[in-house]
Amino acid sequence: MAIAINLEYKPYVALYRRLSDGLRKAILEGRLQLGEPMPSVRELSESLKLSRATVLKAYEDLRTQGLVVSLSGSGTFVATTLPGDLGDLLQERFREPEPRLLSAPDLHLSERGRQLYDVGYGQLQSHVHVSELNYGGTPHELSPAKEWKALMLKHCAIDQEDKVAEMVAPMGLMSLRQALAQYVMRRRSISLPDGPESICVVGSKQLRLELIGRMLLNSGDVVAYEEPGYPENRNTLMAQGAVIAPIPVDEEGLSVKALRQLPTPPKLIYVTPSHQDPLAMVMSMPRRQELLEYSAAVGAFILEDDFDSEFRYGKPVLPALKALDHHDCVIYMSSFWKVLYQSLRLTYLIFPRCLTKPGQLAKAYLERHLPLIDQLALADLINDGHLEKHLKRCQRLLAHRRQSLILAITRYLRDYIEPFGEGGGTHLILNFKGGFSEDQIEAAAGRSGFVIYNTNSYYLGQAPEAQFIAPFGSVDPDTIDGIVKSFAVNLATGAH
Amino acid sequence: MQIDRLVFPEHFKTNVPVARQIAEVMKEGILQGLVSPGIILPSVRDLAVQLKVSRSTAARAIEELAAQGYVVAEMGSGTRVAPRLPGQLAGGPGLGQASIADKDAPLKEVELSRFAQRLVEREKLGAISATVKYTGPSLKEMPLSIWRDLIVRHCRAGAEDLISYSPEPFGFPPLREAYASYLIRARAVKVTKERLITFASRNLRLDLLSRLLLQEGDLVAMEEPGFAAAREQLLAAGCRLIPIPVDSQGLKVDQLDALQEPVKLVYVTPSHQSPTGAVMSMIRRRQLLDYAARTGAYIVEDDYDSEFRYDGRPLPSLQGMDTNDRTIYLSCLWNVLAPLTRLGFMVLPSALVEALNAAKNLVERDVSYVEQAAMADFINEGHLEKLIRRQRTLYAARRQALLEGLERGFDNQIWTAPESAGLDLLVRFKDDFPEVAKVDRAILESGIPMAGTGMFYQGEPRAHEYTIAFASLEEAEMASRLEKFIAALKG
Repeated sequence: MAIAINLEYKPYVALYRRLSDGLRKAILEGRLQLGEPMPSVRELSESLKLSRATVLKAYEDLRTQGLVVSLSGSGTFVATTLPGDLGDLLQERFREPEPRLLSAPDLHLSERGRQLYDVGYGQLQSHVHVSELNYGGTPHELSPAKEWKALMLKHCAIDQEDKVAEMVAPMGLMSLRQALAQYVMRRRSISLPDGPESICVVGSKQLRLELIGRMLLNSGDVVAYEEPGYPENRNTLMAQGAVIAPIPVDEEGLSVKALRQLPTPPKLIYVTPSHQDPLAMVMSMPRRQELLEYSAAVGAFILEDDFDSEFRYGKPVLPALKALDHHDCVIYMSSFWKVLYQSLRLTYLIFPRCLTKPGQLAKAYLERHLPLIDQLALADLINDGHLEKHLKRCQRLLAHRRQSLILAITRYLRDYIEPFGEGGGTHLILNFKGGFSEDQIEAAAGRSGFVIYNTNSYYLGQAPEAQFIAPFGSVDPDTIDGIVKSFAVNLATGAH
Repeated sequence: MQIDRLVFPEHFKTNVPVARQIAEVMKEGILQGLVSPGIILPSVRDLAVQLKVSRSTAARAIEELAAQGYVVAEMGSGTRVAPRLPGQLAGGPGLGQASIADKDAPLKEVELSRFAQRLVEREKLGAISATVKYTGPSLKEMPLSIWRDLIVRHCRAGAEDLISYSPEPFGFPPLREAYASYLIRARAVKVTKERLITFASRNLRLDLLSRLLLQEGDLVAMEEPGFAAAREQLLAAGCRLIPIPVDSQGLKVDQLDALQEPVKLVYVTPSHQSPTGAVMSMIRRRQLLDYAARTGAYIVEDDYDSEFRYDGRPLPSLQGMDTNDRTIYLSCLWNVLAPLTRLGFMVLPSALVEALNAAKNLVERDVSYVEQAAMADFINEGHLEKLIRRQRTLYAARRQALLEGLERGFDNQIWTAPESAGLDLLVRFKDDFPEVAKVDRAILESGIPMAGTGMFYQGEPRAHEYTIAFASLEEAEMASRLEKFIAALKG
């Protein structure tokens, strides 16, 4: 019996599952008829060049789903009635409804809905896919995945019926919040008068911005935002109707002088003081004081995004703005995405005391439950010191990789780029000179395998010509020299 | 020497660098004013001797303090405590005064957004709270070992898919495919994975919908009584809610029709009305779909506990009957798999797919890969339906036992909702039932999982109406609590 099975390629799905999916599709589409025999295991394994074990496993899978039945001695058959009381409706599966995309006005979106749609659509269009270098993250070969797995497994054996009530706390598990309170004290000099009470665990990166913006802003309110600055956070605020005032940064960080010149003082000021994103400078101590004084005077809140304060090369770590916050106006946020990638999406916020109560209400509105096992495991990861050990190892490796990239750049690109300053984080900023267009640079980078991407999306206004981000988290010190050399050659020859 | 006022621990902790511990003590002393600004600190050598640590450790402690701005090193004259400390703001309160460290300082006035103001108001009225009561199933009945196996499978060390997988706003595609086929099998929902969205936070479903479709002040129809959490969400979104009564056939659609102005959205729970348990009849369903088609209103069908029906076949979903693509279908596994997973799902009319994709990308794109991958397998391998079957048998018996117990205890003083479904039983007592305060006391004393339905009403609540959550208590336990409850009422 010949049957066309489409083994859709899906890197994340086991082969037998892809086969059983294909067979299920055939059954639901009626290509394999109800009650009729299934192709024999041997037939299928020969025609699809799969092992018999795989086919057997796929059949087993279909049996559990109730789609086929095995009769001893006579083989496997498609079930005569499909599972569920509504099996008769199954035939409609996979028949795509006619795409009925309506034009914008027919959608009848609300005004705020339109704003949400437009900003979100723009972001989807401009999304840069740079997974080759893991979006500029830390070296993934160092990821404490083994420890993480062990902790996850440990907590899968939860047997704490009495703790269930606490498990659903919208602000996060108390044991995790306690671990975080100690962690920020240790690492960032932040002391919390109300203890873990003001810490709020949030299930995803974007939701933190959503929470802060929704709590503080009405449509039309002014938000001061670093220019250049991280586009995704800016977009989430913009989609809420915030009017973004781009504030330039200089070598000491956000320009408070420019802030003072705003016609209306902002309600919220977004900064990345420990390592400006993307330009990488550290906000100086005097500038920190100045910013705090300014926001206390105008009654604005500061949103401090401490996204990778850990990685710094040669320069001292300054305390977080939140640690200097004597006017109760700093909202602090941080995450672990550079530690465990897709395995761990938990992030956290620290509210000023005056926002803790409304913050808790807004959190319970936007997100009531957090993943339980992840929270238990993360609390352990922090308390056991695994997290800090990991960061230390990363720091060492990153310094090495950064150095080899700088070396290669100084060797081959001296004449093509402006000198770059110090800075922390996981990437370098390259400002090209000599009149190369971005297209020329990108073409040369593509041909040589040099992974860089331009900073255009970081600018709300006009971006400087030919400014690029070069992540070094996954740079291989053995090959980077050759890559940069080839890039330089390509650039020189391609331009003419 | 002022430095002698500092109390260093006799033994340093082993899990924190010694230099950090020294620095912390000194910093604390400086912040508390034990060591005054401008004072010269002992040399590194003296400090090392005094604390019995190596010189390099002592030096590192001083460096850390210098880096943080608490001390300044001056050529030739040693290290001093900084004259102006970090955190000491010109013109502001100094250290140790009314700073964040002051727990008793009055909170400053904050101008919140209109949204947050509505939340604060509702909280003052007692309608919402920042804490959540657990209402999921009992942990004892969770398939923990299966879940563990699936986590093992997807939590592999160095798994490349974890790194190369680029999160999609709608969620992990294999999970969406698996859940879509489950919804077709179990609920006759019209769905493909392109229209199915995974949410880590279930609350975002209604939130994003209301933001996309509704302006503040827009009209929304809601069942009365109706699901309190959904009502609060719509209120916080700024909608004007019109309560439409329900009877044994579900929402009274003719009352919806009689409104002078059509509503933008109707929120319903047709498979098991919350809290009355009524199943919306076929006639009402057609009426409602017809209303939506005529007026252009969207219907939100919250299918929150449709898994649990104890007699007869489940009615197909309202969404599956909708030929005009006006129904937004909400579903989740909270009642089946809490607290192992919090995932929620939404099936969209195709016209809204693109807009929601853009919107979700801005507020929740990153959802744990492991949880989604494990859940996909949990469904595909048949565990979900097996679990639901097992729970259904268990809960049916518990429900039956509760009914019998209530009948014995209250005889004809009680009316129980006839619909055999869900995880709660709605009961009404006759007019001569004891007053609320006494009943509440009896509930508290007996521990019976019973609550008045007041919060389900936007208008005047109905007297002597309660729900009893029968699903997560074993029969014997429920019987004993019921007995205590009855005794407490009589006492």
